[in-house]
Amino acid sequence: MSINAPVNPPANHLSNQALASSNKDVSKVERNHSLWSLAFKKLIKDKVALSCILVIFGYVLVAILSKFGIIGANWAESVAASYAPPSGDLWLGADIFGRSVLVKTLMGTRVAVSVGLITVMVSVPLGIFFGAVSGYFGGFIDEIITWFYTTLASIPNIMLLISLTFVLGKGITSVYIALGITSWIGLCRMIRGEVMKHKTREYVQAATAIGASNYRKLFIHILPNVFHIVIIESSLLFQTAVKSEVILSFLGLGVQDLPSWGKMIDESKMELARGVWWQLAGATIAMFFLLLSLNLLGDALRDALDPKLKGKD
Amino acid sequence: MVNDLKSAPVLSPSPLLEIKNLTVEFSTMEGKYTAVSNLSFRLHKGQTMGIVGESGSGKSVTSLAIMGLIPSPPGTIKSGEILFNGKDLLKVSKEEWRSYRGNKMSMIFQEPMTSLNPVQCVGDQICESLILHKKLSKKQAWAEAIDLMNQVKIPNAESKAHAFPHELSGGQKQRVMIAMALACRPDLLICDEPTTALDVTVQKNVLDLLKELQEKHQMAMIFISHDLGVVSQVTDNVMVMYRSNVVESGTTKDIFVNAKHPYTKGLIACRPSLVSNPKRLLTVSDFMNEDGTSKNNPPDMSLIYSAGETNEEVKRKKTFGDDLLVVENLKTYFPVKSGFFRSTKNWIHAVDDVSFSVKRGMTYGLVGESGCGKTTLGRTILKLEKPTQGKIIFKGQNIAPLNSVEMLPLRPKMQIIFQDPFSSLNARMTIGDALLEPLEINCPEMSAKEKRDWVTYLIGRVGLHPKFLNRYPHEFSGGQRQRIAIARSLTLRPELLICDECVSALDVSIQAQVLNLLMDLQKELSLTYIFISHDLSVVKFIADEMAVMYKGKILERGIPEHIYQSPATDYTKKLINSIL
Amino acid sequence: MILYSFRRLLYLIPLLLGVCLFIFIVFNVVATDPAVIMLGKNATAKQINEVREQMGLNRPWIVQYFDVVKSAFTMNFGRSWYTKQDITEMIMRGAGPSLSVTLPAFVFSTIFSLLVSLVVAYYRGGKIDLLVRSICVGLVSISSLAYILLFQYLLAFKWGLFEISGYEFGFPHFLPYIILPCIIWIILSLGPDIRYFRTIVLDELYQDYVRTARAKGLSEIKVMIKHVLRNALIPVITYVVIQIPFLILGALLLESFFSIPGLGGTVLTAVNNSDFPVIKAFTILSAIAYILFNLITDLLYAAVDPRVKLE
Repeated sequence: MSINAPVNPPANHLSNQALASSNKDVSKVERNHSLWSLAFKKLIKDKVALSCILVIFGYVLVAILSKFGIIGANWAESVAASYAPPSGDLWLGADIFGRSVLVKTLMGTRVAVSVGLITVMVSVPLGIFFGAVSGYFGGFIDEIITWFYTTLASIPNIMLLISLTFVLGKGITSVYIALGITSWIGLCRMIRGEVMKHKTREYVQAATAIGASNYRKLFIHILPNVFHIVIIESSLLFQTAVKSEVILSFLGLGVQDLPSWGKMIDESKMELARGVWWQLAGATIAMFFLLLSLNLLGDALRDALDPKLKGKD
Repeated sequence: MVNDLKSAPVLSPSPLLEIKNLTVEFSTMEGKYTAVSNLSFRLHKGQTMGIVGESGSGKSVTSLAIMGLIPSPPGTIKSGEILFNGKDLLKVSKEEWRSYRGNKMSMIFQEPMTSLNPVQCVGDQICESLILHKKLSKKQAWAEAIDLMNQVKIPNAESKAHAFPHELSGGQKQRVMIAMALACRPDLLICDEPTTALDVTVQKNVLDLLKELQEKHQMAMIFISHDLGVVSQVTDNVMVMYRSNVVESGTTKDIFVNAKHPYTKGLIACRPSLVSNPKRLLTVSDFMNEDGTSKNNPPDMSLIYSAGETNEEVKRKKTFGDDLLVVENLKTYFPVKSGFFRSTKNWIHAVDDVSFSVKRGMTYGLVGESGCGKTTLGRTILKLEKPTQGKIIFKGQNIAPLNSVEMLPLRPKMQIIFQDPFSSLNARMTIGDALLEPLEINCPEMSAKEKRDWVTYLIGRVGLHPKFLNRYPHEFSGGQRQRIAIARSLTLRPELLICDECVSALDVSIQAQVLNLLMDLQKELSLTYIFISHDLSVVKFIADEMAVMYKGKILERGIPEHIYQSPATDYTKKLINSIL
Repeated sequence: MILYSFRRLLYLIPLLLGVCLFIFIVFNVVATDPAVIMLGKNATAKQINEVREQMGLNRPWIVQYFDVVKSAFTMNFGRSWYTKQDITEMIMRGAGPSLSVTLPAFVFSTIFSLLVSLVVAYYRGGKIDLLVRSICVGLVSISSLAYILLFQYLLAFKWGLFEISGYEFGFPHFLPYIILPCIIWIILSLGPDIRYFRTIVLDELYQDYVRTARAKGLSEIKVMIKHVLRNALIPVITYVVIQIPFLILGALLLESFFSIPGLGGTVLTAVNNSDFPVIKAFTILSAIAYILFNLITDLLYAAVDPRVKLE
């Protein structure tokens, strides 16, 4: 069909005036005040959030540098005596083989960051897809998906992780898979609930009235309105993944051939009795700042993005 | 300025409440703004005073300030005095102020649905202040609570006292709120929009009750509303607030007869009433410039009233085309699943055997109270709900059995405007994108420029500047959003437009502007409207034919003027009598 | 309500079948051949086949799946491969020590967190709020392993305040052994609990009925306890009750560090020794417990919230 604008716009000074100035106004983008950009502005005004982002980028940078061998390629070399205590040259001392604990801690970043990122990258699409489909279409599809994630959720997470990494064989890949399988459930549940709520909102009904397809309603209308949950939830997923990796590595189920914070803590279990505390300190401090930044960033994101919290605090 | 209200029935030597130069500020992300600026007034025992103004004018903040309930942060009382029985409440201890609250002064809020504690039975909630202030025992308080519930005319008070808020109707909840507020026989009662959330027939009863109780106990009462009509029912004096300032005050009669401030004049003129028969509605902007000053020329009355003819006669002269929409024995039932196998044992008869027809070019009004099925009816006609039985004949074709794909070619011809301007626009889409979307979906052959030009024309036509196209919904007020929603519904040049309570959420002054706009658009674009509303006066103003709905059925139908003059059913009579 | 409970219990069947399917896939399809695990890498093909035949691993998969399902519904999990004990008995024995650590810690940390969150929410934006929030964020940012190692080393090993590890059965005897694990559990729970409860209480604080309560002249304490807390309890109950099944499972790491003969420690031993039947039994049992406590949560929900009708 085509739209025939009335040939003679009715005598209404407002609309004529508006028309006269319209063409140049519309063509240039005046300013961007979307909810996203407002949230972003709020976020970068927040000094705490900004420094958290910087810290997290720092960790990612270390992880990338060590991936390409620029940092810690020689971590396995012995640089000092066994259990050499921290000193001016060797800030965090040495482990039983005389390897630098500082370099090991930096290398541990690589495992932690990669596990966090991959978990987020796997579980976010899964969570969005299953949550959106089950919330939007409802009915039988919903029941199947709900059954599927309730089944997984009814097994305690730690049992799930342990049994999965155990049967898949020790190693970092198993950790990725186990975390990927388990982490999407919470997100899926939230997205499902939100999509169900938004489905009945009037703006979606209005979209139905103009003949919008299911695809358009779900992806153009509903998902952008629930996407803030994904962003907030990602910071949580990231840190849960880091914590889980540490525990799995500690249990000997995680990464085998690279240093990781969990393995360092495992080694320090025996070392503490001899008064060797630096492996534990290195791993704990490295973890602390990463988790702290993720936590604070998560809170800041929630403040900036969650419309429910507007005007609070 | 001190507004000494002179016509108090009993003038005691010193006022019960005196506000001097009260200024309240709120700090927000964008900075500080003054919610109430330099406000002063006096209120004597037994006097009633209304505060009228649109949302955000500072009327609620004033009442919260008196009660000491301003949320802080973000609000602070910058300066002024609140003298209650001669004592400045801003100077007394928090404890002392608290001993007045619920005791000497009490308040009724707008939303009875959310203002009661959902997990406590209403009897206990009434008892609370009696036990606290009057030091009654639990048993005495309960007996007193039952007595109060009888006074506010809640039937079966003994058993209802054990009910939880969700088990009561909206009107009953508000009566419980009133009983709670009156429990300790306060000297001052503040009612903040107490009837706005209620149905019209309930509103009338609650107002009568308030008036009766006020006279009986000789309380001073402050009554806050955006609606002058409501205020005039219960108060002797009125104060009009506009943008944090009092612009006018005086006796209620006086204000209605010779308002001085242009804003007050506009406010009085913009209400559609059952008595007058205007062609279009006056709005505040007919009297007042943007900066709050009075317009030099009085509005042109010939635009409003037709010379020598009543509106009815004007309407009668309109000619309509063929039947655009015929609804025959339409039923929309919702299943209630219960029992072990979740089988459907009951049905909610939302729309129950409804028939009517709408001619091309006509405005068809549907009136009824909340829950009568009028909204479901509107949505069923658009096939947003699935009809259970019956025919919906649109342009000669029965669309009731069509599935969603078969509906697609018909969608552009019928559109809807929703009640809530805040949830009817996608918050993450610019206005421009929202207006272009219907064209992107339905008109692939239009060029980008054609689409843009048409959208630009439309946004101008609904009275907004085209530069707004790049903005997002949250940057607009409720009235502006409703204009945008209208523009969106018009992008596809529909023939039928369903207006579902589309002015109910708006302030009266804005409501008049939107109604005028709808009438103009109807003429220009030869639209047919189904106008759904709970407000009889609005429907009488705009509709050519109308139907009254009650519990899913149509009770009566016909020409609005006829229905108003000689209503056929008791329910319609009741509806008409409750218009203020 | 009985009808509702019964319906919900029926829902246990598809869920349990799902859990069994998961266990079957993980342990019978994906995992390494149990026969190889039992006999070691040097076993001959003949030996392996014999053991497989013995364990019923050569039967069709559908039959093997049915075995898993049968064990779930009869609660008969057979014997442990490693300790050769009856699994049901192992579980009965382990539950006591696990609960003796987790239950007191759980009750204390829940009540304490709730009280703190009420105070903190009331003073929102103030100094106390900032302080408590900072402490909580700090607490949750430290690895649970670090707490355990550090506390065990400092408080027990170095300063000798508590028993380093071990356990004795019987009421007063186990007390000295559980104090330190309890403290660590509490510290681990405080951060997330207070943060969660605070948001719940804040949500309630902004409701209209709180304003009504203030308008009655109630003191702030009464408003907080009688109105805010009463309403906040509804979501809190969900959060709390659903944790209970995980209490029975115990704190995996704590038990292994402190050599407490509870269920958590048993699971870890089973994992280390590839003791499939034990891992399977635990997974099934914890799933059943989770589903049952979900039902209990719903029933409690209806009990505390008059708006909820079980249908």
